[in-house]
Amino acid sequence: MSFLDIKDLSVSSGGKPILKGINLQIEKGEVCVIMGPNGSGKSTLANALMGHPAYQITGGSIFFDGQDIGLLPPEKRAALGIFLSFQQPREITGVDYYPFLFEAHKSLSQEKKEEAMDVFAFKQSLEERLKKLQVSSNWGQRHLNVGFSGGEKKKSEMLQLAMFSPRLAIFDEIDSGLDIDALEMVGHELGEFISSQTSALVVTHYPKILKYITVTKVLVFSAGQIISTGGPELAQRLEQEGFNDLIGKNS
Amino acid sequence: MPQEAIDKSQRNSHDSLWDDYDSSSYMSKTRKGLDEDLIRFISQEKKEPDWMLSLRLESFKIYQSLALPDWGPKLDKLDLKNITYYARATDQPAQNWDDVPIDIKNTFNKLGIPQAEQEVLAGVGAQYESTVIYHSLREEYKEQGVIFEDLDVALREHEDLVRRYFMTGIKPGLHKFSALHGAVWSGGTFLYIPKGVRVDLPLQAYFRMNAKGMGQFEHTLIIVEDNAQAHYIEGCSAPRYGADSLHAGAVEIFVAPGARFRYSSVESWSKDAYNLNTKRAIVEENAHMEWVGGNFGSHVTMLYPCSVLKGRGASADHLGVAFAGQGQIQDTGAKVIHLAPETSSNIIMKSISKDSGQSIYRGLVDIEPDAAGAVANIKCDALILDEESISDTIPLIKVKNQSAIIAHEATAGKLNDDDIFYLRSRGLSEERAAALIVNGFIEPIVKELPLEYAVEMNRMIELEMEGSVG
Amino acid sequence: MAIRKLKDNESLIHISLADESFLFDEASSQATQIRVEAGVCLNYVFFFNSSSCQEVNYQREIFIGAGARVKTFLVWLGRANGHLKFISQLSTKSSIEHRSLYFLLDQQNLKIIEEHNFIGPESKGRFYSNGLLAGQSQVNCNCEINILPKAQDSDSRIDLKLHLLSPQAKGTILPALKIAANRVRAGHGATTASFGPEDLFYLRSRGLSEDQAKSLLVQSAARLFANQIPDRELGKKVLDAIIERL
Repeated sequence: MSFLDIKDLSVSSGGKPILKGINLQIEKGEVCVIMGPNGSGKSTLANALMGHPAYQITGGSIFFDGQDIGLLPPEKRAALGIFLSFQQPREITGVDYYPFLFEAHKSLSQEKKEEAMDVFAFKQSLEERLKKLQVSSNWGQRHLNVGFSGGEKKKSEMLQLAMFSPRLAIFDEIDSGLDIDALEMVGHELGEFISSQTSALVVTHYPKILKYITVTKVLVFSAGQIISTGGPELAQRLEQEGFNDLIGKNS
Repeated sequence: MPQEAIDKSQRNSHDSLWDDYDSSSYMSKTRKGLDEDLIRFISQEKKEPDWMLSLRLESFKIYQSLALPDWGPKLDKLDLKNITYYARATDQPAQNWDDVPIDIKNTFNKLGIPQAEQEVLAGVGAQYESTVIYHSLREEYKEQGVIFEDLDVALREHEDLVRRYFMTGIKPGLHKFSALHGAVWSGGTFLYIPKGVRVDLPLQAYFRMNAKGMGQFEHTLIIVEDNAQAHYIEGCSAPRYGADSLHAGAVEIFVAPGARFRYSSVESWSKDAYNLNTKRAIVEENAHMEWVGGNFGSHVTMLYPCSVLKGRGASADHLGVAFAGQGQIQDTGAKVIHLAPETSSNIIMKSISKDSGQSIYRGLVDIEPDAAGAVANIKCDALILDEESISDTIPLIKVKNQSAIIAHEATAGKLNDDDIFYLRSRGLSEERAAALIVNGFIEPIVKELPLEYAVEMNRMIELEMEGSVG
Repeated sequence: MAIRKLKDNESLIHISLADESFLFDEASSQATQIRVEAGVCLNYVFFFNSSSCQEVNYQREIFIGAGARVKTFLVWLGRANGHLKFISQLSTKSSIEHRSLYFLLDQQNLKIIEEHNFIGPESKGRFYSNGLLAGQSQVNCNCEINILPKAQDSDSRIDLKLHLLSPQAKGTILPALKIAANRVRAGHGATTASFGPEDLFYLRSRGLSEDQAKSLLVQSAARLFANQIPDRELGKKVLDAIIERL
């Protein structure tokens, strides 16, 4: 079985079917890119994999590292090593950033039955990460994502990616609202993240990000189904030709 | 006048009382209900000056003539005839720790309150052992001329000062419960900060707890002289256990020109209590008043701290959190009356209701004709955690001056699903995520509290949130 | 769009798809109930501008059926003291956009009570109230949103503005929210500010007198209000009536 094994997955929201029989396999070390026009179901897949309560699985299955995760709540999926980088990271007022990170770290460690870092070690690790991400502002004085610019919010997600060390990272609209520098930063972080033990699922609307990441396979979504699969060359074709041709052929 | 002489004259005026009743047997009949005799008895017991007795009797007359409020939560279950309005400290039955209900004990434990404190909070135990810190603080205060005393003691030792201010901020005729208070008030705190004195450490009534327990008709009288500064903390956040079902206390604060004063209280009442306290500050020219508070528990709370901005440039901030759980009605708010020009006020209220609790914000901003250039900002947010709970926002705004600027904003809603999902995707359980968001919701107010109160408030929220989700 | 005028003493009106969807009410009836059937769209204008000084009392109730969409306007001018009660009831998936404007002069006083009851789920309401008080006039404006337990996923907001245009004018406003459902979006805002001292100074430094500045304010509020009325002619009539009072 593959590291992430999705078989005939159908997902609805509020009774409305969105994903219709998705088949997708990702092995360790792979970066899988999902592209497609708006409303094709890409974000739905990303959120459904993380267990967003608004989405219901109406058919098929999701196996992660050999385990059926279809019925697991989000925090348990996080504990298994799945991370979702949100398209619009939530601004949670009144919640101090660093204490939140530490609490999440402790919670995840407990679930994984690992020993959590003590607060000093955590703070040190955190500071190293912040430096690498070139975060100049003092996030310690701020609340979770509150008042963060688009670029800062992305860095915030990357910081969490680095601190929580998941095994599967899902990026929902990885590049929305980012400039070249930020795209490069994200690409770099993703590159650092991928190893023989980790994988990534990258949902994107624009092919620009592909300049900065190494892609294993590309899937094209349309109207809740996968209509095309290929390697990096498929992405290049799409950059030049757009989606319409491809979708036209399949409708 | 020498002590003896005073006693004799008072004795003469109460001769009949002494002849007809033996004082111990008088009190040992569990004395319920209220009449003039009891009031005279109270005054006599305390050896009060005549003017205080007159004030009590006058208040009693007003109490009898006023009706219960015709708005707000229903108070018809409150049996005014069946309440003990006065009990001597020595007559109060010492409570047995074993008799304290198990859920109260559990809450104390969860909040990490040491055994000795728990006992005092539960009305058990004779006296709270004051610590060395307390003693040295007392000395420091004394040197600066700060008076921080039982009100009964202050009435004897600083009679003129007390007389000048007592029940002039909260007049007996204000409403039925202020009249009741005027008649039967007993015990309380007197705090006097002389001109120009800055007291840096928060003053806590907590230090002075004794067997009298949480008086139901306690009076707090605070006088802050010109350009003085202090912070006073009343209450504590652990639930109070007590047989008293009615609390009609009063807090009067007089902030003289240029002075700054903050009154913080985090109150948690037992589930059958009626919390009908009255709190009011009179703020003079360029003086600043701050109310920071949290209200938890009780069966019914009606509490609207009021700032009267009397002098030019006077200002007030009201920050509050109210939490209404099962069977609870928190009818709270803020009242600011702008009487003078260039006055300003800022109200930030957060309320949370769950398990069919009812949380009501009732506010008043009153801009009187002389309040030119007055500025008032009100922000009320309500979090309704489940389908059965209720939240009402009733902000009355009266404007009688055209140059006043008032801005009021209120929102209501539930916890945002996407916020919860975000936190859960980071490994937090649903309950933990909800508690974190609720604590974040009230953070602007909690951060103004001294650390140990903030921590306790957060823990109270977490306790309340347990089992509230899913 | 054809405009139907309310007849004298017409106390009950049914609006169904077949009827005209524009109702003009010149305050000829003391109490009127309007029942808007499911799925219907209605525009309604209540216009009080009587020159009589006789104290008046009006009540209007509008029941909005499932999925119906309603746009309502209340205008209060005239000379008399008055009492106006406006009640709306919103069923499932219905919506209302409600605007009221009152411009009081001399010693006029007005009591307005608006009660907007959300009884069905996914109902939506936006309420805008604009008060202009000159002379020694007074207003008491209660605007309440009442969300009943079944009205989950409803979305409501009140915005109240009160402008005191003279030193003796006074107002009391109460934007209340009573909420018994939890999956709701509800909010309100209220402001009372004509010009802060700095704004007024700025305008005056451009050559305007205080009176001219206030007149600008009234005109701006009137235009904003009248432009929303879906019938241009009627909108102009309302605008002219308001400006005339300056």
